Amino acid sequence: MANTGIGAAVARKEDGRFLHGRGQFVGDIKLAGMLDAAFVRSPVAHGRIVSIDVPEQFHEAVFTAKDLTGLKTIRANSGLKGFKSSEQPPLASNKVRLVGELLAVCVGGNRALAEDVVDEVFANIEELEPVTDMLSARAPDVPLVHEEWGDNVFLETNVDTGVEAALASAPVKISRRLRMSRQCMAPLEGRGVVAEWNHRTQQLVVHTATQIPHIVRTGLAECLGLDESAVRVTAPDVGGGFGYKAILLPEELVVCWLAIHLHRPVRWLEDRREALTASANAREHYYDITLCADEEGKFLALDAKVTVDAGAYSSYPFTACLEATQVASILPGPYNFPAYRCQTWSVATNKCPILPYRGVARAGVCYALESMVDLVARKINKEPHDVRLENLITPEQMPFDNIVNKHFDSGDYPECLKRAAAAIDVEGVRKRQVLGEPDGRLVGLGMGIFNEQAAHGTAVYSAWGIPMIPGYEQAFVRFTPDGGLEVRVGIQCHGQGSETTLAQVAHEILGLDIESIKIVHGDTELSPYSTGTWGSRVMVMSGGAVATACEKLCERIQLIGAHLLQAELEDTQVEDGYVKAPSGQISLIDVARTWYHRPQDLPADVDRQGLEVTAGYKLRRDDGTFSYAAHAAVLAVDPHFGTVEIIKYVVVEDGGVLINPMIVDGQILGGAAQGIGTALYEEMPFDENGQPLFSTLADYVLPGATEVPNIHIEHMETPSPYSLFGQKGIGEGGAIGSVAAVTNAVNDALCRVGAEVCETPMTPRRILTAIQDAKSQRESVGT
Amino acid sequence: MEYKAPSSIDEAVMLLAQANGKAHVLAGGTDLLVQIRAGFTKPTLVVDVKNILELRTISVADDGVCIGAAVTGAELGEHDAVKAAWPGLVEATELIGSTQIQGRASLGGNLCNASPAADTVPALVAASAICLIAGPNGQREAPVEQIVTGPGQTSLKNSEFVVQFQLPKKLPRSADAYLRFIPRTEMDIAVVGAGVNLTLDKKGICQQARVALGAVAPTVLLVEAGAKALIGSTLDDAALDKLRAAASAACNPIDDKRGTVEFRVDVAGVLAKRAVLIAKQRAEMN
Repeated sequence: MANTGIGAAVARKEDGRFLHGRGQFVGDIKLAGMLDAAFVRSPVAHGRIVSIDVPEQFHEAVFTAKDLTGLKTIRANSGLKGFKSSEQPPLASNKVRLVGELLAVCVGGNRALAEDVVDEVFANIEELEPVTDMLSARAPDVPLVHEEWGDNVFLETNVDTGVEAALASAPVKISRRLRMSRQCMAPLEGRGVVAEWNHRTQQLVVHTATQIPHIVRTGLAECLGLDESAVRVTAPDVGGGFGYKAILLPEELVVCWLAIHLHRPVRWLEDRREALTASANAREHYYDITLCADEEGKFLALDAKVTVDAGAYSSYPFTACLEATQVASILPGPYNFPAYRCQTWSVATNKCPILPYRGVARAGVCYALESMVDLVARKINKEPHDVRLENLITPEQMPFDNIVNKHFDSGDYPECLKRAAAAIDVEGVRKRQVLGEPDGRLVGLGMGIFNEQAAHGTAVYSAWGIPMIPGYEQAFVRFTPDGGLEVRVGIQCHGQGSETTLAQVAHEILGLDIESIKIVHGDTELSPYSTGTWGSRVMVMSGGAVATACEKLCERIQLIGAHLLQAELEDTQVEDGYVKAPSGQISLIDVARTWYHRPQDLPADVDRQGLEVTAGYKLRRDDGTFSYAAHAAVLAVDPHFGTVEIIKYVVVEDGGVLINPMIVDGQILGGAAQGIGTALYEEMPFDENGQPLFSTLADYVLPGATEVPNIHIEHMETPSPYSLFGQKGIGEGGAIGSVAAVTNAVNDALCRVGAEVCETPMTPRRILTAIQDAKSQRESVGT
Repeated sequence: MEYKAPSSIDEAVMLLAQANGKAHVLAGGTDLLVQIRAGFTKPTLVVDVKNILELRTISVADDGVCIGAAVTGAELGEHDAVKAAWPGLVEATELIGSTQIQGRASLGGNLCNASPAADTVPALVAASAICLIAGPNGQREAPVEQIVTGPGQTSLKNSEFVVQFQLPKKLPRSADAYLRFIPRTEMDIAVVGAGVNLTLDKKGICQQARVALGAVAPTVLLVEAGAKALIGSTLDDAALDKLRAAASAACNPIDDKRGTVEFRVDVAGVLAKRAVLIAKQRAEMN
């Protein structure tokens, strides 16, 4: 039998149903008597609601805040001192704080009818001046998003190990102001929810496109005033999440309230316009950053003031400060810094709340830091990867506690960088740059190296102000009478292939055919409590829990098998689907049949716990695992159009022991595509009135098949000493290093004409403007 | 809404003339069906012209090429004679939409949808294409550049529709080219488009030139000053710089989220220049 355990590139078990169009998403769920909901949304970014006028004939189809009796506001509080709490009402009651905020909900027999009612509702709003820019939002005398705060800052943090000496004396000191624009997450499937009240079980049953069914259940129960046992959340097939589905939506609350009070199933399916303009916002960082080094490029200090535009509300459960607080703790990257200072502000504006997005904070941090590394290299006339090598943590230093006490578990960062440099052929590119291109384009080479903390637990999250994140997971396994294995996990698989990889883990322990192993997930009624799928934690934590539960089950199977084989327990072993003893062997299926169907063959003192086990797993350290990777890109910039073509792209990644290398490659490829989008294409701009300017995918430019190059991936496999099999979380890395590799390559190309872009995405317009500015500057110097 | 699919020009004209309320001509439907679904237009009658032979035929004769207004992009892209004679027009057509759209979209639809950003229109204008138009008063001819009068507006009178495009006889040492700028690399709508058609003499001196720009004004622009800059030159750097300046000067674009005024003006000049270089290279080989 071909290996289907750890390390095998097994084809994904779940793909059959998707490839045949038989996946079941929220939009596929149709319940008898179901109503569709559509929302009346605020047309203005900031204002006071005077009245919401509903024509008489629609009174029964329209609900406003005053109708939603008993529904509490959404509060997501950071545990950090000084955090200012925001209250997000499911439907706005007094003020609106962003375009697209929910004002009223309309129901109809289908979405079109509900939308027709939306058109009849008139919101009378007294407009207030909005705050749309995070930098001016901190100025005195600006309008306040939340008046009771007295300013527009959710939270300010400060880390300082003492940088003044280095700032005063460093031979090389580079400062920049860098911006990462606001983006929208764009999973293929938008958000969607169907809710119904089940009279038999006295339960609210909620089918929702979520990554975190258990947390949504907790949030719903709290806001609706229900017992948790009266809420069942199921996430069916979910078409991508990236963080956008790791929140509790006000829409979910409203739809649930309607289902309870109308005694009918109610559905809301988000359309792309709603996602883009009113919901799926992410990123938006501003860095005022200084990197100090000696003449050789050895780093002396890093000093940064970082502002994150967190939008109007703190989203549940990860809060408005998820990005900024993480920035402060991960900005030093994979490097050794002797001195570090970082101030952060999570600023409230009249825009959509920013939500966690794959590579939370890290994509911005890696972009900012790696941009600075290239600038230092340029200043001292060294190859950027040599400056990186000068400062990377070495394998001899592992495990390593960095300047902010991040505990890096294992790896050979310099080797990773060297392999990327070799694969991208740095010398060849440099020669090509000297020769120039026949078509006049400017070739650039860029690299980005990072480490990705993953599967980190309680201590780390509470330091970021995020409570309720455990450093463990549980799994339930049941050996069924026919010899199959049911594995129930609280995580939710929305594209990661966990139905396959977790089966591989179970196979590794029990030797059962992975086709007979069924992973059950995404249903609060069927699985152990879990915070769900996010933070690159599933393979490490849930994988650990599945293995631990299988090991316990294995012991019980072995005990019964030994009895049936009349062998001593210590003379038996479980292997390839059999309990084996010197006297013979018995298949696991026969053990199952005996337990369930022939109890007379079991000893009287048999272990009564049977063939069902719930077990938990916790990493050896709360710091989790640190996968890492170096991305390298060669691209050509057209100096007249400002367009960019990526010519070559390389990733060298170390994800520890790989459970399924094919799936890891898929994660890297998809993430890199998203990072290329961040670097070159994706931006959600707002005008000065707080109006989102892009409302379709024609304007919001996502990279497509023709923009994403062939990506060459190489693996290193340094086991983590802290995880069960040495595996590391790698879910987000692709989206992290790619931004820096591409932006550094653009600026490497542009430095040949003295230009530099300090903002993502590096669009044709920004690149042309930078080239023009450089030209004007040269001319003014010349005269 | 009534749907009719006549098989002759006369029948189509009659249906359109007798229509009560708003009537639309349907070719590939890649614009019209989207507009109907979105509620932008609510026709009482849709006349599908795909069953009319003249609109679906490509004919090549000594005096030029005729392309039926409802010939699809895919059909045009596989027509060797048209590809050889008018590569610029064919590449403009093939830039429209995806493979699936190519199986439907037509030159006639692209023109009469009257988008300032239509890809084939600058190429047709540069090629001096003439439209054959059918209507209640018989048939008439008009140059392509006279059809579109503004965004979504055409000079076609009630019940008139375009039957075919007549491209002139291809002269020796002449060629066309079309380029567009989009923020992606595929599947997008032109931020700027430039079509060029050139004729050189044996010494490489430009005898005739037409330069047309899309998406930089309410209608496609025929840039005569650009042509003037090229005619009589060997298409040297000085002439190309003049062309670039003329093309930029002719632009009157809007400032929108897809491109600022400055960006469009600048890119239009560069595009025109690059399209000339491609056309020149092709003309030299003819």
